[in-house]
Amino acid sequence: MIAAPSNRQRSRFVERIVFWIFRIATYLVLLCATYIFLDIGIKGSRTVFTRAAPFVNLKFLTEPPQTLYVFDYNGKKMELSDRQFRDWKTTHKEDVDVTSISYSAGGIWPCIVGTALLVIGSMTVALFIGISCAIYLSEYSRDGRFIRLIRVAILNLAGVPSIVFGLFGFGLFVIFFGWNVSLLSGWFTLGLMVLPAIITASEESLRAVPQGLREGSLALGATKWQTIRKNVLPYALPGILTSSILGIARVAGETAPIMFTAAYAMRDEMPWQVSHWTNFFFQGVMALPYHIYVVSSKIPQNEYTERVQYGTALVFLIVVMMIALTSILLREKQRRRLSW
Amino acid sequence: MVSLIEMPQALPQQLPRQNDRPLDETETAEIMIDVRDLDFAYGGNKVLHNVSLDIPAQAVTAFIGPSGCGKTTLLRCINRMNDLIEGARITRGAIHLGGVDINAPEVDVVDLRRRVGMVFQKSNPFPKSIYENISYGLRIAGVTKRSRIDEAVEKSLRAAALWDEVKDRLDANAFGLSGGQQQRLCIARALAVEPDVVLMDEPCSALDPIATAKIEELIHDLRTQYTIAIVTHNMQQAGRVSDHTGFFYLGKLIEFGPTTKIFTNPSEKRTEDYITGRFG
Amino acid sequence: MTPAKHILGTFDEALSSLRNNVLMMAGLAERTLDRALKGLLQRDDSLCTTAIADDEEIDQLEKQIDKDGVDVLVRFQPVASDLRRVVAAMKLSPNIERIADQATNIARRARKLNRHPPLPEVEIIVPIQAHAMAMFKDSIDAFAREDVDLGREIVARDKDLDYMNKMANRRLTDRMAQDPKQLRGYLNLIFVSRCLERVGDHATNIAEDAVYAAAAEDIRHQTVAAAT
Repeated sequence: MIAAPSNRQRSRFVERIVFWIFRIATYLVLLCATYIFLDIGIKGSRTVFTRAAPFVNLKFLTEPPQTLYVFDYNGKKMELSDRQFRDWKTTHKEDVDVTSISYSAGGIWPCIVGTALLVIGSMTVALFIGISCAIYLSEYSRDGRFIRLIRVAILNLAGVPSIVFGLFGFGLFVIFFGWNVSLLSGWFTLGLMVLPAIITASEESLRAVPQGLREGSLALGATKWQTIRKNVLPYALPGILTSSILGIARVAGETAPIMFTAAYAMRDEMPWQVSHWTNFFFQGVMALPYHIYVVSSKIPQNEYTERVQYGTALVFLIVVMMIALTSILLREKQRRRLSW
Repeated sequence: MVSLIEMPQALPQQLPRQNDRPLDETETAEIMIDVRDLDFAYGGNKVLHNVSLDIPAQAVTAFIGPSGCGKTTLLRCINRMNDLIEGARITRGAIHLGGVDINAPEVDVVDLRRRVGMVFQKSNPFPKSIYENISYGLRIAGVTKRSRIDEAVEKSLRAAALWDEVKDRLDANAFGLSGGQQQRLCIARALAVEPDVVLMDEPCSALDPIATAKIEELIHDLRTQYTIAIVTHNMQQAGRVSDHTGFFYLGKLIEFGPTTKIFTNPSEKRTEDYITGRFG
Repeated sequence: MTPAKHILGTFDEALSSLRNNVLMMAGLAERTLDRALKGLLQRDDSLCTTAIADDEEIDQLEKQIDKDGVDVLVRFQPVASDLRRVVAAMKLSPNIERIADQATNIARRARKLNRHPPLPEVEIIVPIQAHAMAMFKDSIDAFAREDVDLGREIVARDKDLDYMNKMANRRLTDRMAQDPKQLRGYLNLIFVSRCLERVGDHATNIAEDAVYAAAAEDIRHQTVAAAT
């Protein structure tokens, strides 16, 4: 029975409405993303990029934060960083009415380094534990109550709020293990936080490898581990690396877990300036998200702090994007080498 | 037969190797695989009932029967690939390879799988180069000497009638080969570890007639050196390629005998009904 | 014994078509032989002429059966009993065709005999005819019903037919010596007897092929315990 013309017209009309709803939803998302990126981009680039060569505010990127001193002198508005002010003070002995704004001069170099270190370390921890766990769950374990319990536990872990992770890390790593506020504590806290996502994605990637490859390898007289190492894991790696991209973004951006476990608001030494190489792991670092938090909430707000905030945010976005890009490149290289 | 692979000496009971002369028609065949009173079950579901047969050495034995009759299950028992399936186990009876019970606890299943190679229904070349595919089995057995591996690669590719077609592109990805070539690659890969037995599970079911004919010709060439057991849905193929045929139905072995007899004058009515297409 | 149907309906149709052609051909040959012998015994030329004309149709059927047989082999690749039946049908048909040829020979001889006054010795043919016809009918029966015992029995009966033929020869040659004026007539009768003996041989072949089709046994060229 052919539908009556009016019925058909009505269905078509409904379809067009629905399509437009979908379209609008998508554009809305695009709009939001564009707004965020543009907002940070425009305001941040005032800090990060300069008009003259080399077009990048190198000072911002390579110097540690310093206090900004703003005052009027002879009708001119002076904005000097801490070091500059002290130099100036040696030549100009008179008293000036100074407003000092913390963190608003200098740059965020230690934060960049700190975030990079935290990301690299925690991803290493997360990938190592996560892939091992995924291999065990998908290749070795037999389905049973205990395994199901483990899976439930992993799922629950994904739902734990990041601040609770921070407290957990504080209690276990900082206090109980005695690691204090350090890279190690931060690595393990962040690593555990991102672990469920890595495990789930790794398991999916492992499962996506066709069973024929395993059977073929076993039928040639390989042990299970040989099969996994040579014929399964290499082909699951692209998928695992893709999942790690999302993990990187999360690890880099979370403030709560590192607040009590790894981050300092201000630190004078760079992470490589340690007396003994083992101390490297037991030192705290500055971090980009924490810095934004500190600049935004711990000190009074004005145009100078805003500059720092947006500049930091932009740099932060760029750093995360670069790390993600590396992961994508690695994945593409791996995929090309072992395509199937 | 000189082995290119140094087999691990740790096993107290080495599976004996066979000599490789072609079988004379008049001699009584040496039995390679002896299945005795075998019952097999997946969990609680019994799929093989009291199967007994002898697979003679250096000959081709075909298993035919309708879908779900247990022929593939039996094949996978011989190289213990069913061990990978949870709950699958032999509930009665035994399989002996060259006189040794393959399910005995002293037998190393990894060594067994080297002696008993398998070619699957859907060809599964690894996503590596042709050379790496063939050398895979050797490498996991611990062979590292490059010259030995080169030699073995050429030997097995020749044995699989694939050498001339691929000798100039051994580093090319195996997925660039046609379906028939991929299956021959899988056969070469299985041959590279110098097995005594080659099990084939419907090797031609996904191939066109020309590729099928090439593989049947290959099977014919291989039978002087290897013991071959092949599961096939195609009865004409069983007729063309095998020396002995076993007909399975609902997990039981209905009839087993020389292929010409099974196809011209079978003893069992069910065999006759199946092969003439009256049921199944 | 009707075997179960093939899953492929066209296969069943092809096999029954082949079988029916064989039976039809046998029926025609039987009728031709019957007509030829009646023409001889009842001195009816019209029967003989009809018999000779019928041979054409039987020849065409032989060609048809061969063609259909090869067709079945090519299309269906039969095995086991199906294969044996097809092969048997293809081997049967030349034998039936030659029986029909023998019938035409008898018809021709009968026509010649009918131009001359009747010979009482024609009666000698009657038992030979009965025996040969029975063998032919039974051999086709053995094929149709796949009766192995019947087939074996027919092979044994051929000896009797040979004996009867030999006896008939002797009597007719004696008569030829006694009554030279009717020489041509007696010769024709000898030929008729030999034709019937050949009909028996062909019926034996048919029986042997029927046994092969039914039981996969090749009973040709076996030394039968002679009852001679």
